[in-house]
Amino acid sequence: PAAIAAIKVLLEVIQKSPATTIMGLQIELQTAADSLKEHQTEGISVASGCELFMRFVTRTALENAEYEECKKRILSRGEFFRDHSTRARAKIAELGSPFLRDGHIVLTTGFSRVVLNLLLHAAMHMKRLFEVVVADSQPGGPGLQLAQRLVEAGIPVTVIDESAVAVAMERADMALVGAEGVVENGGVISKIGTYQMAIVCQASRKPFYIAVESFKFVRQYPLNQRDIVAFDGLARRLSVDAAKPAASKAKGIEMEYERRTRDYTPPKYITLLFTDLGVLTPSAVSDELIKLYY
Amino acid sequence: TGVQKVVALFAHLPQYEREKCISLPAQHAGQIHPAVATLGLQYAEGAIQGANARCIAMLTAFKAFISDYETPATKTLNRDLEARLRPQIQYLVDCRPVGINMGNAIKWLKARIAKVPPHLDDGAAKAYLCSEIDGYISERIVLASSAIAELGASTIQDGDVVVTFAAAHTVEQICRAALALGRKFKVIVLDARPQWDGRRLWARLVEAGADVSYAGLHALAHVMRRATKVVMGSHACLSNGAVVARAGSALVALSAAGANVPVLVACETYKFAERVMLDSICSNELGDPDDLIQVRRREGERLWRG
Repeated sequence: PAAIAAIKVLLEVIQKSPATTIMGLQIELQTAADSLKEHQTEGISVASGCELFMRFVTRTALENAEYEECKKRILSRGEFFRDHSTRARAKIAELGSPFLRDGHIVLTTGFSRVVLNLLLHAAMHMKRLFEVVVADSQPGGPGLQLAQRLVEAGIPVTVIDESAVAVAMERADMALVGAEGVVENGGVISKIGTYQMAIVCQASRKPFYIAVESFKFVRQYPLNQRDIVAFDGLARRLSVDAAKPAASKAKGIEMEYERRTRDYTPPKYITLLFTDLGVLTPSAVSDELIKLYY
Repeated sequence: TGVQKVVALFAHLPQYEREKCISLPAQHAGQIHPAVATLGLQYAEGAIQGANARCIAMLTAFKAFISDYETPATKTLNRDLEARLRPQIQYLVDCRPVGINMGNAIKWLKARIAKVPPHLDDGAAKAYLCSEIDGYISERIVLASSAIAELGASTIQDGDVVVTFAAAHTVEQICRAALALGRKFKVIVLDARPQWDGRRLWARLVEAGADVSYAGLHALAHVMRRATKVVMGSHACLSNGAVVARAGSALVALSAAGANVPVLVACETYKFAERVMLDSICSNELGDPDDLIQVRRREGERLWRG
Protein backbone atom coordinates (compact mmCIF):
# COMPACT_ATOMS: atom_id res chain seq x y z
CA PRO A 1 0.00 0.00 0.00
CA ALA A 2 0.97 3.60 -0.42
CA ALA A 3 1.96 4.07 3.18
CA ILE A 4 4.49 1.21 3.12
CA ALA A 5 5.93 2.59 -0.10
CA ALA A 6 6.26 5.99 1.57
CA ILE A 7 8.04 4.44 4.53
CA LYS A 8 10.48 2.65 2.21
CA VAL A 9 11.13 5.93 0.41
CA LEU A 10 11.88 7.70 3.68
CA LEU A 11 14.24 4.90 4.63
CA GLU A 12 16.12 5.43 1.39
CA VAL A 13 16.24 9.15 2.06
CA ILE A 14 18.10 8.36 5.26
CA GLN A 15 20.43 5.90 3.56
CA LYS A 16 21.34 8.31 0.81
CA SER A 17 21.29 11.49 2.86
CA PRO A 18 24.38 13.69 2.56
CA ALA A 19 23.52 15.45 5.82
CA THR A 20 26.17 15.48 8.52
CA THR A 21 23.99 16.45 11.46
CA ILE A 22 20.84 15.06 13.02
CA MET A 23 19.02 18.34 12.41
CA GLY A 24 20.03 18.24 8.76
CA LEU A 25 18.76 14.68 8.45
CA GLN A 26 15.49 15.59 10.14
CA ILE A 27 14.99 18.54 7.82
CA GLU A 28 15.57 16.30 4.80
CA LEU A 29 13.13 13.74 6.12
CA GLN A 30 10.54 16.41 6.82
CA THR A 31 10.88 17.84 3.31
CA ALA A 32 10.58 14.38 1.79
CA ALA A 33 7.53 13.56 3.94
CA ASP A 34 5.83 16.84 3.07
CA SER A 35 6.43 16.23 -0.60
CA LEU A 36 4.99 12.73 -0.33
CA LYS A 37 1.91 13.99 1.50
CA GLU A 38 1.33 16.68 -1.10
CA HIS A 39 1.38 14.36 -4.06
CA GLN A 40 -0.55 11.47 -2.72
CA THR A 41 -4.16 10.86 -3.62
CA GLU A 42 -4.57 7.69 -1.62
CA GLY A 43 -5.69 9.15 1.64
CA ILE A 44 -4.41 9.88 5.06
CA SER A 45 -2.45 6.68 5.58
CA VAL A 46 0.58 8.16 3.82
CA ALA A 47 0.54 11.18 6.11
CA SER A 48 0.13 9.10 9.24
CA GLY A 49 2.70 6.54 8.10
CA CYS A 50 5.30 9.25 7.47
CA GLU A 51 4.55 10.99 10.75
CA LEU A 52 4.90 7.80 12.75
CA PHE A 53 8.04 6.76 10.92
CA MET A 54 9.73 10.03 11.71
CA ARG A 55 8.69 9.96 15.34
CA PHE A 56 9.82 6.39 15.76
CA VAL A 57 13.10 6.92 14.02
CA THR A 58 14.21 10.12 15.68
CA ARG A 59 13.34 9.08 19.20
CA THR A 60 16.83 7.76 19.97
CA ALA A 61 18.72 10.41 18.09
CA LEU A 62 19.92 12.21 21.17
CA GLU A 63 21.68 9.31 22.84
CA ASN A 64 24.85 9.13 20.74
CA ALA A 65 27.39 11.88 20.20
CA GLU A 66 28.78 10.57 16.92
CA TYR A 67 26.65 11.29 13.86
CA GLU A 68 27.60 8.09 12.04
CA GLU A 69 26.59 5.98 15.04
CA CYS A 70 23.34 7.89 15.31
CA LYS A 71 22.66 7.40 11.65
CA LYS A 72 23.19 3.65 11.96
CA ARG A 73 20.78 3.51 14.90
CA ILE A 74 18.22 5.57 13.00
CA LEU A 75 18.59 3.37 9.95
CA SER A 76 18.10 0.20 11.95
CA ARG A 77 15.02 1.63 13.67
CA GLY A 78 13.70 2.66 10.28
CA GLU A 79 14.19 -0.84 8.92
CA PHE A 80 12.47 -2.28 11.98
CA PHE A 81 9.52 0.04 11.43
CA ARG A 82 9.34 -0.87 7.76
CA ASP A 83 9.44 -4.59 8.48
CA HIS A 84 6.91 -4.25 11.29
CA SER A 85 4.55 -2.34 9.02
CA THR A 86 4.96 -4.82 6.19
CA ARG A 87 4.12 -7.63 8.55
CA ALA A 88 1.19 -5.74 10.03
CA ARG A 89 -1.34 -7.36 7.76
CA ALA A 90 -0.25 -10.86 8.63
CA LYS A 91 -0.41 -10.06 12.33
CA ILE A 92 -3.89 -8.61 11.99
CA ALA A 93 -5.03 -11.71 10.12
CA GLU A 94 -3.77 -13.89 12.97
CA LEU A 95 -5.41 -11.80 15.67
CA GLY A 96 -8.71 -11.29 13.88
CA SER A 97 -9.35 -14.75 12.49
CA PRO A 98 -10.52 -16.29 15.79
CA PHE A 99 -13.50 -13.94 15.69
CA LEU A 100 -14.81 -15.73 12.60
CA ARG A 101 -16.63 -18.88 13.55
CA ASP A 102 -17.98 -21.71 11.41
CA GLY A 103 -21.34 -20.80 9.97
CA HIS A 104 -20.84 -17.05 10.37
CA ILE A 105 -22.08 -14.59 7.81
CA VAL A 106 -19.74 -11.62 7.56
CA LEU A 107 -20.86 -8.31 6.12
CA THR A 108 -18.26 -6.01 4.57
CA THR A 109 -17.95 -2.99 2.33
CA GLY A 110 -15.21 -1.45 0.23
CA PHE A 111 -12.04 -3.26 -0.69
CA SER A 112 -9.57 -3.38 2.14
CA ARG A 113 -6.61 -5.64 1.56
CA VAL A 114 -6.28 -6.01 5.29
CA VAL A 115 -9.82 -7.41 5.45
CA LEU A 116 -9.14 -9.59 2.42
CA ASN A 117 -6.03 -10.97 4.06
CA LEU A 118 -7.90 -11.68 7.27
CA LEU A 119 -10.72 -13.49 5.51
CA LEU A 120 -8.33 -15.54 3.36
CA HIS A 121 -6.27 -16.47 6.41
CA ALA A 122 -9.33 -17.61 8.31
CA ALA A 123 -10.62 -19.64 5.39
CA MET A 124 -7.40 -21.20 4.18
CA HIS A 125 -5.17 -21.55 7.21
CA MET A 126 -7.69 -21.90 9.96
CA LYS A 127 -10.14 -23.74 7.77
CA ARG A 128 -13.16 -21.77 8.96
CA LEU A 129 -16.36 -22.17 7.01
CA PHE A 130 -18.11 -18.84 6.64
CA GLU A 131 -19.98 -16.76 4.10
CA VAL A 132 -19.28 -13.20 3.09
CA VAL A 133 -21.81 -10.61 2.00
CA VAL A 134 -20.10 -7.75 0.21
CA ALA A 135 -21.78 -4.38 -0.20
CA ASP A 136 -20.71 -3.15 -3.60
CA SER A 137 -19.76 0.35 -2.56
CA GLN A 138 -20.11 3.20 -5.01
CA PRO A 139 -18.29 5.20 -6.21
CA GLY A 140 -15.70 2.90 -7.67
CA GLY A 141 -17.35 -0.45 -7.06
CA PRO A 142 -14.35 -1.92 -5.22
CA GLY A 143 -16.61 -4.36 -3.42
CA LEU A 144 -16.82 -6.34 -6.62
CA GLN A 145 -13.04 -6.75 -6.72
CA LEU A 146 -13.04 -8.03 -3.17
CA ALA A 147 -15.85 -10.45 -3.99
CA GLN A 148 -13.92 -11.84 -6.94
CA ARG A 149 -10.80 -12.47 -4.86
CA LEU A 150 -12.88 -14.23 -2.20
CA VAL A 151 -14.67 -16.44 -4.68
CA GLU A 152 -11.35 -17.43 -6.22
CA ALA A 153 -10.31 -18.63 -2.79
CA GLY A 154 -13.42 -20.70 -2.47
CA ILE A 155 -15.35 -18.55 -0.01
CA PRO A 156 -19.10 -18.25 -0.68
CA VAL A 157 -19.83 -14.63 -1.53
CA THR A 158 -22.97 -12.62 -2.12
CA VAL A 159 -22.73 -9.14 -3.61
CA ILE A 160 -25.43 -6.68 -2.63
CA ASP A 161 -26.11 -3.00 -3.22
CA GLU A 162 -25.00 -0.57 -0.57
CA SER A 163 -28.62 0.36 -0.06
CA ALA A 164 -29.45 -3.22 0.93
CA VAL A 165 -27.09 -3.27 3.92
CA ALA A 166 -29.87 -2.78 6.48
CA VAL A 167 -31.83 -5.68 5.03
CA ALA A 168 -28.78 -7.92 4.84
CA MET A 169 -27.90 -7.17 8.46
CA GLU A 170 -30.76 -9.39 9.56
CA ARG A 171 -28.91 -12.45 8.28
CA ALA A 172 -25.42 -11.30 9.21
CA ASP A 173 -23.52 -12.17 12.41
CA MET A 174 -20.96 -9.38 12.25
CA ALA A 175 -19.53 -6.67 10.07
CA LEU A 176 -15.82 -6.32 9.26
CA VAL A 177 -14.42 -3.32 7.47
CA GLY A 178 -11.06 -1.70 6.82
CA ALA A 179 -10.12 1.92 7.46
CA GLU A 180 -7.95 4.64 6.03
CA GLY A 181 -7.20 6.29 9.30
CA VAL A 182 -7.86 5.82 13.00
CA VAL A 183 -8.36 9.01 14.94
CA GLU A 184 -7.54 9.90 18.50
CA ASN A 185 -10.81 8.90 20.07
CA GLY A 186 -10.83 5.49 18.42
CA GLY A 187 -13.13 6.51 15.58
CA VAL A 188 -12.17 5.75 12.00
CA ILE A 189 -12.14 7.49 8.67
CA SER A 190 -12.92 5.13 5.84
CA LYS A 191 -14.71 4.54 2.58
CA ILE A 192 -18.12 6.14 2.36
CA GLY A 193 -20.72 3.65 3.50
CA THR A 194 -18.79 2.49 6.55
CA TYR A 195 -20.56 4.85 8.93
CA GLN A 196 -23.92 3.72 7.61
CA MET A 197 -23.01 0.09 8.12
CA ALA A 198 -21.86 0.88 11.66
CA ILE A 199 -25.13 2.55 12.56
CA VAL A 200 -27.13 -0.36 11.14
CA CYS A 201 -24.96 -2.79 13.13
CA GLN A 202 -25.64 -0.94 16.33
CA ALA A 203 -29.37 -0.81 15.64
CA SER A 204 -29.35 -4.56 14.97
CA ARG A 205 -27.06 -5.26 17.93
CA LYS A 206 -24.40 -6.94 15.79
CA PRO A 207 -20.67 -6.44 16.41
CA PHE A 208 -18.84 -4.03 14.13
CA TYR A 209 -15.12 -4.73 13.67
CA ILE A 210 -12.43 -2.68 11.98
CA ALA A 211 -9.22 -4.23 10.69
CA VAL A 212 -6.49 -1.61 10.39
CA GLU A 213 -2.70 -1.30 10.61
CA SER A 214 -1.21 0.80 13.39
CA PHE A 215 0.63 3.12 10.99
CA LYS A 216 -2.78 4.51 10.14
CA PHE A 217 -3.23 5.99 13.59
CA VAL A 218 -3.45 9.78 13.24
CA ARG A 219 -3.43 12.61 15.72
CA GLN A 220 -6.70 14.10 14.55
CA TYR A 221 -9.94 14.58 16.46
CA PRO A 222 -12.87 15.12 14.10
CA LEU A 223 -16.04 16.20 15.88
CA ASN A 224 -18.41 15.47 13.03
CA GLN A 225 -18.55 14.60 9.33
CA ARG A 226 -17.76 18.16 8.35
CA ASP A 227 -14.35 17.98 10.01
CA ILE A 228 -13.09 15.31 7.61
CA VAL A 229 -13.91 17.20 4.43
CA ALA A 230 -10.25 18.13 4.22
CA PHE A 231 -9.43 14.46 3.75
CA ASP A 232 -12.18 14.01 1.27
CA GLY A 233 -10.42 15.53 -1.70
CA LEU A 234 -13.50 17.70 -2.08
CA ALA A 235 -16.93 16.30 -2.80
CA ARG A 236 -16.74 15.70 -6.50
CA ARG A 237 -19.38 17.05 -8.75
CA LEU A 238 -20.63 14.86 -11.48
CA SER A 239 -21.40 16.59 -14.69
CA VAL A 240 -25.07 16.94 -15.31
CA ASP A 241 -26.29 14.86 -18.22
CA ALA A 242 -26.31 17.33 -21.15
CA ALA A 243 -29.29 15.66 -22.78
CA LYS A 244 -31.44 16.40 -19.77
CA PRO A 245 -30.81 19.99 -18.83
CA ALA A 246 -31.65 20.96 -15.28
CA ALA A 247 -35.36 21.76 -15.19
CA SER A 248 -34.94 24.94 -13.22
CA LYS A 249 -32.59 26.71 -15.60
CA ALA A 250 -35.34 29.28 -15.88
CA LYS A 251 -34.89 30.16 -12.23
CA GLY A 252 -31.14 30.14 -12.61
CA ILE A 253 -30.36 27.24 -10.32
CA GLU A 254 -28.74 23.97 -11.27
CA MET A 255 -29.07 20.58 -9.73
CA GLU A 256 -26.18 19.93 -7.37
CA TYR A 257 -24.46 16.59 -7.06
CA GLU A 258 -22.36 15.55 -4.13
CA ARG A 259 -20.19 12.49 -4.04
CA ARG A 260 -18.35 12.10 -0.77
CA THR A 261 -15.63 9.52 -0.80
CA ARG A 262 -15.04 9.15 2.91
CA ASP A 263 -16.94 9.22 6.15
CA TYR A 264 -16.11 9.31 9.84
CA THR A 265 -17.38 6.58 12.12
CA PRO A 266 -17.49 7.66 15.78
CA PRO A 267 -16.05 5.23 18.35
CA LYS A 268 -19.36 4.41 19.97
CA TYR A 269 -20.35 2.33 16.94
CA ILE A 270 -17.12 0.33 16.86
CA THR A 271 -16.92 -2.88 18.88
CA LEU A 272 -13.25 -3.74 18.40
CA LEU A 273 -10.30 -2.79 16.22
CA PHE A 274 -7.99 -5.54 14.96
CA THR A 275 -4.55 -3.95 14.74
CA ASP A 276 -0.99 -5.21 14.68
CA LEU A 277 -0.66 -3.80 18.19
CA GLY A 278 -3.40 -6.13 19.35
CA VAL A 279 -7.16 -6.29 19.46
CA LEU A 280 -8.16 -2.89 20.83
CA THR A 281 -11.31 -1.25 22.08
CA PRO A 282 -11.79 2.28 20.72
CA SER A 283 -10.84 3.75 24.09
CA ALA A 284 -7.52 1.89 24.02
CA VAL A 285 -6.57 3.60 20.78
CA SER A 286 -5.63 6.88 22.42
CA ASP A 287 -3.40 5.01 24.89
CA GLU A 288 -1.62 3.35 21.99
CA LEU A 289 -1.35 6.67 20.17
CA ILE A 290 0.34 8.21 23.17
CA LYS A 291 2.80 5.32 23.28
CA LEU A 292 3.49 5.64 19.58
CA TYR A 293 3.92 9.37 19.48
CA TYR A 294 5.88 9.81 22.66
CA THR B 1 -28.05 38.64 55.71
CA GLY B 2 -27.42 36.07 58.32
CA VAL B 3 -28.52 32.49 57.90
CA GLN B 4 -32.20 32.50 58.51
CA LYS B 5 -33.28 29.19 57.19
CA VAL B 6 -31.11 26.17 56.58
CA VAL B 7 -32.37 24.07 53.69
CA ALA B 8 -32.04 20.43 54.71
CA LEU B 9 -30.62 19.33 51.36
CA PHE B 10 -27.77 21.82 51.64
CA ALA B 11 -27.27 21.64 55.38
CA HIS B 12 -23.83 20.04 54.97
CA LEU B 13 -22.52 22.97 52.89
CA PRO B 14 -21.05 26.18 54.30
CA GLN B 15 -24.03 28.49 54.65
CA TYR B 16 -24.17 31.94 53.11
CA GLU B 17 -23.56 34.58 55.77
CA ARG B 18 -22.50 37.87 54.31
CA GLU B 19 -22.50 40.11 57.33
CA LYS B 20 -20.07 37.79 58.99
CA CYS B 21 -17.40 38.36 56.34
CA ILE B 22 -17.64 42.11 56.56
CA SER B 23 -17.02 42.09 60.27
CA LEU B 24 -14.24 39.55 60.06
CA PRO B 25 -11.28 41.88 59.47
CA ALA B 26 -12.24 43.78 62.60
CA GLN B 27 -12.33 40.57 64.57
CA HIS B 28 -8.91 39.48 63.44
CA ALA B 29 -7.39 42.95 63.71
CA GLY B 30 -3.65 42.72 63.41
CA GLN B 31 -3.64 39.18 62.12
CA ILE B 32 -4.97 39.67 58.61
CA HIS B 33 -2.69 41.38 56.14
CA PRO B 34 -4.38 44.43 54.53
CA ALA B 35 -4.02 43.05 51.02
CA VAL B 36 -5.70 39.84 52.11
CA ALA B 37 -8.41 41.73 54.01
CA THR B 38 -9.21 43.78 50.90
CA LEU B 39 -9.30 40.64 48.82
CA GLY B 40 -11.66 38.92 51.22
CA LEU B 41 -14.10 41.79 51.03
CA GLN B 42 -13.84 41.81 47.26
CA TYR B 43 -14.68 38.09 47.24
CA ALA B 44 -17.61 38.63 49.57
CA GLU B 45 -18.96 41.47 47.45
CA GLY B 46 -18.52 39.47 44.28
CA ALA B 47 -16.21 42.10 42.82
CA ILE B 48 -13.90 39.43 41.47
CA GLN B 49 -15.58 36.76 39.41
CA GLY B 50 -14.17 33.80 37.56
CA ALA B 51 -11.93 30.95 38.64
CA ASN B 52 -8.74 32.30 37.04
CA ALA B 53 -9.27 35.87 38.24
CA ARG B 54 -9.90 34.76 41.81
CA CYS B 55 -6.85 32.55 41.85
CA ILE B 56 -4.53 35.20 40.43
CA ALA B 57 -5.89 37.77 42.89
CA MET B 58 -5.34 35.37 45.77
CA LEU B 59 -1.78 34.56 44.78
CA THR B 60 -1.00 38.25 44.29
CA ALA B 61 -2.32 39.03 47.77
CA PHE B 62 -0.18 36.22 49.18
CA LYS B 63 2.84 37.69 47.45
CA ALA B 64 2.19 40.97 49.29
CA PHE B 65 1.81 39.03 52.52
CA ILE B 66 5.05 37.12 51.97
CA SER B 67 6.93 40.30 51.09
CA ASP B 68 5.87 41.91 54.34
CA TYR B 69 6.56 38.84 56.42
CA GLU B 70 9.55 38.72 58.73
CA THR B 71 10.82 35.52 60.25
CA PRO B 72 10.96 35.71 64.05
CA ALA B 73 14.40 35.13 65.53
CA THR B 74 13.63 31.71 67.00
CA LYS B 75 11.87 30.23 63.99
CA THR B 76 12.63 29.10 60.44
CA LEU B 77 10.83 30.53 57.43
CA ASN B 78 9.86 27.09 56.13
CA ARG B 79 7.63 26.32 59.06
CA ASP B 80 6.63 29.66 60.46
CA LEU B 81 5.47 31.21 57.19
CA GLU B 82 3.07 28.36 56.61
CA ALA B 83 1.68 28.73 60.12
CA ARG B 84 1.16 32.45 59.58
CA LEU B 85 -0.38 31.87 56.18
CA ARG B 86 -3.06 29.64 57.61
CA PRO B 87 -5.20 32.36 59.24
CA GLN B 88 -4.99 34.37 56.00
CA ILE B 89 -6.32 31.42 54.08
CA GLN B 90 -8.98 30.74 56.69
CA TYR B 91 -10.14 34.33 56.49
CA LEU B 92 -10.47 34.11 52.72
CA VAL B 93 -12.39 30.86 53.07
CA ASP B 94 -14.73 32.50 55.55
CA CYS B 95 -15.41 35.35 53.14
CA ARG B 96 -16.11 33.03 50.28
CA PRO B 97 -15.38 29.28 50.00
CA VAL B 98 -12.29 28.70 47.86
CA GLY B 99 -12.65 26.85 44.64
CA ILE B 100 -10.91 23.59 43.75
CA ASN B 101 -8.39 25.47 41.60
CA MET B 102 -7.53 27.84 44.44
CA GLY B 103 -7.19 24.84 46.74
CA ASN B 104 -4.66 23.35 44.33
CA ALA B 105 -2.74 26.64 44.22
CA ILE B 106 -2.67 26.82 48.01
CA LYS B 107 -1.38 23.25 48.26
CA TRP B 108 1.31 24.08 45.75
CA LEU B 109 2.30 27.22 47.64
CA LYS B 110 2.56 25.38 50.93
CA ALA B 111 4.72 22.74 49.31
CA ARG B 112 6.97 25.45 47.86
CA ILE B 113 7.29 27.15 51.22
CA ALA B 114 8.29 23.88 52.85
CA LYS B 115 10.94 23.38 50.17
CA VAL B 116 12.60 26.78 50.39
CA PRO B 117 16.37 26.16 50.49
CA PRO B 118 17.30 26.62 54.16
CA HIS B 119 20.55 28.43 53.45
CA LEU B 120 18.73 31.41 51.94
CA ASP B 121 18.30 34.48 54.14
CA ASP B 122 14.90 36.08 54.63
CA GLY B 123 15.13 38.51 51.75
CA ALA B 124 16.36 35.92 49.28
CA ALA B 125 13.79 33.34 50.42
CA LYS B 126 10.93 35.82 50.02
CA ALA B 127 12.20 36.86 46.61
CA TYR B 128 12.42 33.20 45.65
CA LEU B 129 8.84 32.53 46.75
CA CYS B 130 7.52 35.60 44.98
CA SER B 131 9.23 34.64 41.77
CA GLU B 132 7.86 31.10 42.11
CA ILE B 133 4.36 32.51 42.50
CA ASP B 134 4.90 34.70 39.44
CA GLY B 135 6.01 31.60 37.57
CA TYR B 136 2.94 29.66 38.67
CA ILE B 137 0.59 32.40 37.54
CA SER B 138 2.45 32.86 34.31
CA GLU B 139 2.79 29.17 33.38
CA ARG B 140 -0.19 27.42 34.89
CA ILE B 141 -2.76 30.12 34.33
CA VAL B 142 -1.80 32.72 31.73
CA LEU B 143 0.23 30.65 29.29
CA ALA B 144 -2.05 27.69 29.83
CA SER B 145 -5.02 29.77 28.67
CA SER B 146 -3.07 30.86 25.60
CA ALA B 147 -2.25 27.28 24.73
CA ILE B 148 -5.89 26.34 25.21
CA ALA B 149 -6.94 29.29 23.07
CA GLU B 150 -4.70 28.14 20.23
CA LEU B 151 -5.94 24.57 20.41
CA GLY B 152 -9.55 25.64 20.78
CA ALA B 153 -9.33 28.05 17.88
CA SER B 154 -8.10 25.25 15.61
CA THR B 155 -11.33 23.34 16.27
CA ILE B 156 -13.50 26.24 15.12
CA GLN B 157 -14.28 26.08 11.42
CA ASP B 158 -15.82 28.57 9.04
CA GLY B 159 -19.56 28.50 9.37
CA ASP B 160 -19.56 27.19 12.93
CA VAL B 161 -22.20 28.25 15.41
CA VAL B 162 -20.49 28.12 18.78
CA VAL B 163 -22.67 28.09 21.86
CA THR B 164 -21.22 29.04 25.21
CA PHE B 165 -22.58 29.54 28.69
CA ALA B 166 -21.94 32.32 31.20
CA ALA B 167 -18.56 34.03 31.11
CA ALA B 168 -15.37 32.02 30.89
CA HIS B 169 -11.97 33.58 30.43
CA THR B 170 -10.77 30.65 28.34
CA VAL B 171 -13.77 30.81 26.02
CA GLU B 172 -13.13 34.48 25.38
CA GLN B 173 -9.50 33.64 24.58
CA ILE B 174 -10.56 30.89 22.21
CA CYS B 175 -12.93 33.20 20.35
CA ARG B 176 -10.31 35.90 20.07
CA ALA B 177 -7.77 33.42 18.75
CA ALA B 178 -10.24 32.08 16.22
CA LEU B 179 -11.01 35.63 15.07
CA ALA B 180 -7.30 36.27 14.72
CA LEU B 181 -7.07 33.20 12.48
CA GLY B 182 -9.74 34.76 10.30
CA ARG B 183 -12.43 32.17 10.96
CA LYS B 184 -15.97 33.15 10.11
CA PHE B 185 -18.12 31.88 12.94
CA LYS B 186 -21.02 32.90 15.09
CA VAL B 187 -21.13 32.82 18.87
CA ILE B 188 -24.25 32.49 20.96
CA VAL B 189 -23.78 33.35 24.61
CA LEU B 190 -26.30 31.69 26.91
CA ASP B 191 -26.90 33.23 30.26
CA ALA B 192 -28.74 32.61 33.48
CA ARG B 193 -29.96 34.57 36.45
CA PRO B 194 -29.27 35.76 39.03
CA GLN B 195 -25.81 36.93 38.07
CA TRP B 196 -26.16 37.24 34.31
CA ASP B 197 -22.44 36.63 33.92
CA GLY B 198 -22.74 36.07 30.20
CA ARG B 199 -23.21 39.77 29.60
CA ARG B 200 -19.57 40.40 30.39
CA LEU B 201 -18.44 37.88 27.80
CA TRP B 202 -20.95 39.13 25.29
CA ALA B 203 -19.78 42.75 25.66
CA ARG B 204 -16.12 41.72 25.32
CA LEU B 205 -16.78 39.62 22.23
CA VAL B 206 -18.72 42.43 20.63
CA GLU B 207 -15.74 44.70 21.22
CA ALA B 208 -13.48 42.06 19.72
CA GLY B 209 -15.56 42.12 16.56
CA ALA B 210 -17.18 38.71 16.82
CA ASP B 211 -20.59 37.89 15.39
CA VAL B 212 -22.18 37.23 18.73
CA SER B 213 -25.73 36.95 19.99
CA TYR B 214 -27.18 36.42 23.42
CA ALA B 215 -29.97 34.35 24.89
CA GLY B 216 -31.23 33.14 28.22
CA LEU B 217 -31.31 29.48 29.18
CA HIS B 218 -35.00 29.28 28.41
CA ALA B 219 -34.03 29.49 24.73
CA LEU B 220 -31.75 26.48 25.06
CA ALA B 221 -33.72 24.06 22.92
CA HIS B 222 -34.16 26.62 20.19
CA VAL B 223 -30.49 27.61 20.15
CA MET B 224 -29.22 24.03 20.26
CA ARG B 225 -30.93 23.18 16.98
CA ARG B 226 -28.63 25.60 15.17
CA ALA B 227 -25.49 24.93 17.16
CA THR B 228 -22.52 23.09 15.67
CA LYS B 229 -20.51 22.97 18.86
CA VAL B 230 -20.66 23.95 22.50
CA VAL B 231 -17.54 25.44 24.10
CA MET B 232 -17.54 26.06 27.84
CA GLY B 233 -15.15 27.03 30.53
CA SER B 234 -14.78 25.10 33.75
CA HIS B 235 -14.07 25.45 37.38
CA ALA B 236 -12.43 22.08 37.87
CA CYS B 237 -11.96 18.73 36.18
CA LEU B 238 -12.33 15.61 38.31
CA SER B 239 -10.51 12.30 38.11
CA ASN B 240 -13.33 10.54 36.32
CA GLY B 241 -13.49 13.20 33.62
CA ALA B 242 -16.47 14.98 35.12
CA VAL B 243 -16.39 18.75 34.91
CA VAL B 244 -17.34 21.16 37.66
CA ALA B 245 -18.51 24.47 36.23
CA ARG B 246 -20.94 27.32 36.68
CA ALA B 247 -24.46 26.16 37.60
CA GLY B 248 -26.31 25.65 34.35
CA SER B 249 -23.42 24.14 32.41
CA ALA B 250 -24.71 20.62 32.92
CA LEU B 251 -28.04 21.67 31.45
CA VAL B 252 -26.35 23.05 28.37
CA ALA B 253 -24.22 19.92 28.00
CA LEU B 254 -27.19 17.57 28.33
CA SER B 255 -29.15 19.55 25.81
CA ALA B 256 -26.21 19.43 23.42
CA ALA B 257 -25.87 15.67 23.85
CA GLY B 258 -29.52 15.33 22.99
CA ALA B 259 -29.01 17.35 19.83
CA ASN B 260 -25.81 15.51 18.81
CA VAL B 261 -23.77 18.64 19.27
CA PRO B 262 -20.18 18.09 20.48
CA VAL B 263 -19.35 19.68 23.83
CA LEU B 264 -15.82 21.00 24.31
CA VAL B 265 -14.66 22.09 27.75
CA ALA B 266 -11.62 24.27 28.30
CA CYS B 267 -9.77 23.48 31.50
CA GLU B 268 -6.25 24.42 32.56
CA THR B 269 -4.39 21.59 34.27
CA TYR B 270 -4.07 23.48 37.54
CA LYS B 271 -7.81 22.96 37.90
CA PHE B 272 -7.52 19.18 37.82
CA ALA B 273 -8.63 17.61 41.08
CA GLU B 274 -7.81 14.17 42.38
CA ARG B 275 -11.30 13.49 43.56
CA VAL B 276 -14.60 12.28 42.31
CA MET B 277 -17.99 13.81 42.99
CA LEU B 278 -21.05 11.66 42.61
CA ASP B 279 -23.47 14.56 42.37
CA SER B 280 -23.48 18.35 42.34
CA ILE B 281 -24.52 18.72 45.94
CA CYS B 282 -21.85 16.85 47.89
CA SER B 283 -19.52 19.80 47.50
CA ASN B 284 -20.77 23.17 46.36
CA GLU B 285 -21.06 26.83 47.18
CA LEU B 286 -24.23 28.53 48.33
CA GLY B 287 -24.97 32.03 47.09
CA ASP B 288 -27.14 34.78 48.44
CA PRO B 289 -30.75 33.57 48.47
CA ASP B 290 -31.96 37.17 48.24
CA ASP B 291 -30.50 37.36 44.75
CA LEU B 292 -33.25 35.09 43.57
CA ILE B 293 -36.18 37.24 44.43
CA GLN B 294 -36.84 40.93 44.83
CA VAL B 295 -39.69 41.43 47.19
CA ARG B 296 -41.12 44.91 47.49
CA ARG B 297 -44.21 44.62 49.58
CA ARG B 298 -43.69 44.09 53.26
CA GLU B 299 -46.09 41.18 53.34
CA GLY B 300 -44.19 39.51 50.60
CA GLU B 301 -41.01 40.12 52.53
CA ARG B 302 -42.44 38.41 55.56
CA LEU B 303 -43.57 35.42 53.55
CA TRP B 304 -40.23 35.11 51.80
CA ARG B 305 -38.35 35.17 55.06
CA GLY B 306 -40.72 32.62 56.53
